[in-house]
Amino acid sequence: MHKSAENHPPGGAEMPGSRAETAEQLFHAHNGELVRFLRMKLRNEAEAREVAQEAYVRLLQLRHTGAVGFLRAYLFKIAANLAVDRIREKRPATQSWSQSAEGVADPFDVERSVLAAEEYEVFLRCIEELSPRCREAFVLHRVHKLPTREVAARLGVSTRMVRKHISRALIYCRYRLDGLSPGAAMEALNHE
Amino acid sequence: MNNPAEQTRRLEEAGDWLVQLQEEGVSDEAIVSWVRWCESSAENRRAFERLLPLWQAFDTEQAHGALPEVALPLARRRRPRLVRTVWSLVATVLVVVAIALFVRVSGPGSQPMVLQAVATLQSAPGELRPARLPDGSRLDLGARSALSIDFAGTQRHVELQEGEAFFEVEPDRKRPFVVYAGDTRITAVGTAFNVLKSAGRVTVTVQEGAVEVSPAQQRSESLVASAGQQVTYDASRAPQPQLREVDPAAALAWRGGHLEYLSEPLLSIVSTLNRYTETQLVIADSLLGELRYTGTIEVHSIPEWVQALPRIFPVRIRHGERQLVIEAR
Repeated sequence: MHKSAENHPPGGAEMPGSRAETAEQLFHAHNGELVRFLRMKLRNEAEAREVAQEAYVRLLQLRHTGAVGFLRAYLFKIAANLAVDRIREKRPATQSWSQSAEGVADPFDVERSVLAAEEYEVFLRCIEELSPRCREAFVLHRVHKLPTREVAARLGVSTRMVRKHISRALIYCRYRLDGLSPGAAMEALNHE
Repeated sequence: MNNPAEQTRRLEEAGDWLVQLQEEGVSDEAIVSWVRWCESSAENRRAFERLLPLWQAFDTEQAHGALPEVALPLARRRRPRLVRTVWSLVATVLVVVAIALFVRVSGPGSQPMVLQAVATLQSAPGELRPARLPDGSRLDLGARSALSIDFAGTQRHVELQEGEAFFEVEPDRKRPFVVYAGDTRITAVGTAFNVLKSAGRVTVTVQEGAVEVSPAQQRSESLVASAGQQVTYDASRAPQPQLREVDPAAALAWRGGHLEYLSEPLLSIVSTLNRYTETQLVIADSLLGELRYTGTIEVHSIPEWVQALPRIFPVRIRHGERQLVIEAR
């Protein structure tokens, strides 16, 4: 941590909220990696550190981090988006931006990414339609919050298989919410 | 994107990322590859966004009410220590889920009821109750709070017996709007202010206009607080009400489900949190109650906040029956 000693986590001791606490832990544990990642993008050490700081500040400003399970991944994503913004600002206007133009800059809105009440009800019903294994894996992991390796031990399958079950549960329910019938959703899911 | 096989493949990748990113000990390299995957195509990013709300559905306030059930098949283990680990994990999860189920906040979307001239109003743990008063003023009653009103006389008389309430007062110079909370009297004409009664202390925060705050017994000690100011009165600590400048939005954030604190004693926070959950928090040692906390607590994530306390303060959490004891470590 010595080499980033001048780089203090924003908020500091005055903000010991669970959110600030987690962000601070993330800062100490992963700042080195984050700065390395940003340096590759920005090709500039000072800028990389600045963007890392800014990303932490953004993370601290999130209200509903309770819902952001993948806080660390989200931190990297925010940082990556900020870096893209910076690179874009520097380019002359005439030069076209090759990557998919909009959307890259703003991190997807985790906070607003919620189901409407009716959708939630439909979602609950769709979970009942899943195959028993798939349903068990999904409910144990997402509702009971058991880590995937625990779910794997209980179901007697590999962690890889558990991920697959959970992923398929999500996709099936997504298709159903998009208006597909149970049969059509299953068919779309099994399209290989 | 129109090709169903292609679409399913992308969604499978997105689903796999969602699971992986949340696994304990996910590597920085994995995170970086995920960021690259997102950046490599707008469709990848879109697929991730489409699954996100489903993934998060049980992390948010929606998750109360009916949850899908499964019979929990308990894996038989040969290694007893691991079994204990699993059990303590399950126990922790169950405690968190149990507390989470007790936390309910009905948003201000529910229809405000109109109170009669003489009436009482109460709220359940975690409940937020908007109401309209007979003079056209309105109020939001906080969680596990109680107040009564008497608008029959020459004064508009409100008594906050317990908890917290926010008032928006209809101006009427001839009939002062007076709120009594414990030892404190708050007099308003036309204004918006919040009153919090917690552990022997009353805190009045003014959002608009001005109010006069005085000990209920002696009018002489009165103090005028205007927008952006806060008065606290705790007769056991100081004979006079204390005035300070604050950001009223922080004191009013509870109406949106957030509790915002700036150097707040733990004792006062615990007394507020206990209005949101059935499971009660208890501070074992009065010295711990003096610890100061700064930060935001989401009323939907109180269990998580409590679990994180030992990382902030030199305390540990002991699980009792229907209560969590915060004790020195």
